[in-house]
Amino acid sequence: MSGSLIGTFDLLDRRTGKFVEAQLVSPAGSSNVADIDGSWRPLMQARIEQLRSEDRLTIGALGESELQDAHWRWSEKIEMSSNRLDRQSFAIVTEGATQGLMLVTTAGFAKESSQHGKPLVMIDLLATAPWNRRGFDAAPRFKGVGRIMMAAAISLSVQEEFRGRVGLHALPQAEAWYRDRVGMADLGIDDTRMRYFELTEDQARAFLAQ
Amino acid sequence: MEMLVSRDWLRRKIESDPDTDNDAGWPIEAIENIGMFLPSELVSDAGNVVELKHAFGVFIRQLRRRDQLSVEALAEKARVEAREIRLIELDPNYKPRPRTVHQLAEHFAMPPQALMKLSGATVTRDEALQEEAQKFAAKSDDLSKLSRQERQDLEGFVKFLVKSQK
Repeated sequence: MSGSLIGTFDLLDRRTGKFVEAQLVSPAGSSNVADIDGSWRPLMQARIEQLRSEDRLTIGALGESELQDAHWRWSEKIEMSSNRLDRQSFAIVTEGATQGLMLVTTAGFAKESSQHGKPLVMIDLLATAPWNRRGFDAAPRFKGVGRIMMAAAISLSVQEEFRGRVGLHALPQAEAWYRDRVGMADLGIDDTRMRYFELTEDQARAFLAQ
Repeated sequence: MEMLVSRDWLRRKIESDPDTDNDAGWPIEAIENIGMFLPSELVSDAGNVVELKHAFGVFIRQLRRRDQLSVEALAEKARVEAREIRLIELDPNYKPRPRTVHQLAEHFAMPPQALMKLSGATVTRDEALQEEAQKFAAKSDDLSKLSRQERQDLEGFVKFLVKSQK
């Protein structure tokens, strides 16, 4: 079962250069979990097996191939999101397949000096399907999951009266996107050993007004 | 929830955005924070993992004894297989299934992340946990009923695990 339709948007098919209709739903549901278990995970597992057979299976290689979430217990994460008021999940579906997922918590607090301690939407995870990842697939398919999800996170933040404040830890290959394109404040590498970014109220307004 | 941007706005932006990755979340290096599972050959320091798993087995056994539950009774209450509880308690090389660890954490009202680390299901570099777990396991004996000291040790370790996740 899938969640409620938030809206119909579009993803850009890199192969054809044309937009394809996509649905943003929340919460993510069993159909999305089935997609991950049935489509995402076998692809990621096959890549892990390939790395293993080539004796190249290292943490670094997993990161380079964007297999960081290959071993996530997605069903539990999504189930947890559906059972807790401070968690929400989003999925983007097109062509009958889940193209991206986002898990957020609405119980986070800002760290940036101008808004320190104020509540924000924390993106715990934003992941695209393996076939949309540049590090995984030499010819990745759909573009736009990140933009739609970011817009959803900001919209949720405004709805929650957090004034657009959003926080996240960017994967290394995505740091430039969040800093330069989304315009988030770069607060440096924190104790997670990842670079933490935060969107202030002003930056959220600027993002929406771009 | 209402989206604050239009479909057209998103199309324009997606078209003009640079073609980069947008993924966010937890990296492999932070697996212990999210309960991610790595291929076994990437789990470093296997000796420590075995020691933690031994402590996990002792911990589950002591909690079960504290609550005066048989293996079968605990299995029924936690909705896990009795065979798996026996393996957890007796075989430090046994790697329990994540669901089982979660069910046990839920049953005993323990922080799941702490039990995931202790069970060896997730990788941890938490030296304090390793030290406390070893101390706890070394002090615990398998008497039919928990002695007063064993109960104190058990409660102390429960407090440590709960506090370590705050």
